[in-house]
Amino acid sequence: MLGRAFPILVTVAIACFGAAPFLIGAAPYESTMGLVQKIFYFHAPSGMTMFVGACVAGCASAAYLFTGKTSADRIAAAAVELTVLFGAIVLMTGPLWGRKAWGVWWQWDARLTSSLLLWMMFVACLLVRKYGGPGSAKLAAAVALFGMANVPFVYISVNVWRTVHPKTTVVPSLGAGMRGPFWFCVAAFLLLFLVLLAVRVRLAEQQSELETLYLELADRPATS
Amino acid sequence: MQFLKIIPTPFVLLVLWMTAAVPMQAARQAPASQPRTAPPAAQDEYVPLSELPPDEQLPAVPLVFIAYGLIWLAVLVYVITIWRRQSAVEKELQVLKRQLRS
Amino acid sequence: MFFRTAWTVFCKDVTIEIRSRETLATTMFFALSVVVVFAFALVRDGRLVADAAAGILWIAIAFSGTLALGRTFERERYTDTLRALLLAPADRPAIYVGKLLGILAVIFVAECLLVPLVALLFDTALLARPLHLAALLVSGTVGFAAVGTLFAAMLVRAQSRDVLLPVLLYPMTIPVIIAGVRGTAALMQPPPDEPMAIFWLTLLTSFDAVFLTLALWTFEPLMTD
Repeated sequence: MLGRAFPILVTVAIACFGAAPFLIGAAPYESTMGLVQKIFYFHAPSGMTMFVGACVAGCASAAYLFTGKTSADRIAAAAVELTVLFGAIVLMTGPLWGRKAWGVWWQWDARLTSSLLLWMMFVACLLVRKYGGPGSAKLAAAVALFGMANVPFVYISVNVWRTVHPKTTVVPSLGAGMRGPFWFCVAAFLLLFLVLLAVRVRLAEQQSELETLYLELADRPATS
Repeated sequence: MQFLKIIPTPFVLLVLWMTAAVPMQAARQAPASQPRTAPPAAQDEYVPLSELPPDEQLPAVPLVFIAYGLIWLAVLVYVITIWRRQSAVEKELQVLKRQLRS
Repeated sequence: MFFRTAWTVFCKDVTIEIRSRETLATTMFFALSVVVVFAFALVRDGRLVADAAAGILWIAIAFSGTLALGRTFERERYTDTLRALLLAPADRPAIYVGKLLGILAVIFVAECLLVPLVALLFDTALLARPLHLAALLVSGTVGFAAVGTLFAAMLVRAQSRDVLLPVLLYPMTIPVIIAGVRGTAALMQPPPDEPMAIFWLTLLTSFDAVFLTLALWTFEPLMTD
């Protein structure tokens, strides 16, 4: 998918994640939460990457549904898997932070509930792809499209309702020392997403090449 | 894609380093005296840290450690599953190509 | 033409239902069973836990709605009439709307049973603001059925369709159910909290708009091979 840029991007991604601990360690402490707030530097970018993954999956699914291009289906399948991965990261790191900051592992407030539902929708998409039988690619595409439609709701939920989760105004108003490491981590996560997407799409291309070869082999007349 | 084959080892090393590095870096900069805790519930007078109820003394280091560790574990597990599926598919492709050529 | 097609499909479904009463009877009895089961789970000292009546009502609607969806499309699959419908020279979205109206009719009839039942069994002021409650029920059911009809139709030709329908439907429609429950619970407060109920009603209407648009847009490519 990325051609010759791929090795460069992988190296840059690994370098970014290598540098991240130092930047995060050097960032100032948040006044009330102290050390545990450092989880933010990976938790929030994972959340953003989950949204990006959901949107990529939705758009690729729409493209597949309306144009029938299998390349769009491959991108959608890859993006759905990555949305589940980054969503799982958000849902695991959030409670670890929340346990210390709020005193509870989980709360059924708008942001947490809607994020969990978004994640579950994409897991359901994976289940359809795996167990739906032939033609399940289109079904999965419809599910992913509906999943993407949910992303705006999840994002604004924290502003509309009174929730225990920090609002979206936190990121634009970050202090100078925190802004740098945060956006660096966002860039690193988006790069990781791109790299993993390319790898997964390549796998899907090879699987489809395999199927074509199987069909070719089956079509061959039997030689005595 | 040959590049993919040489990734796993440095990636695993990076994961192990990161799992240790992030919390250690952050903890090293923490004041050595006491763990940071959330401000206690409303109280009328000063209460020393040692007398705070246990749940207000939750240490942050294990939580941060586990959080970063889980992130790396999740990404590593995903990369490993892709890598295994990729090798299986490539092996099958080679077998099939050989069969078709003969 | 569009509405005529939808109306024809709807009349077909209603006629079948009136003659066999299969989906209606089973759905209504299932709704009753759900109410009873949840009542046992949530009753303490002979009284229901606070606000649980709203939750029970909407859970019963969701579960019996899923049953009705499964049954309706299983019937279409078994008699192969879905293919006949798709072969007809009619707008696919019109067929979708017709099926949607049929499902809505079944669920509305079930709700006519459920609402007085829940109000009676749990001694709640559910009917304090009947118009607001009706609006919540209509918009919530439309949202649920819009997604449900699309998914049930597209799963007709899939494997594991029985288990995949709930797996797909519930995460998608939980926001609708949450909004319905909160709105209904607001109406059940000692002085009914109308502004809150109207807030949830507006949210339900926006869900309906989004889901209906998406469903109408994707029905055709999904049902075409």
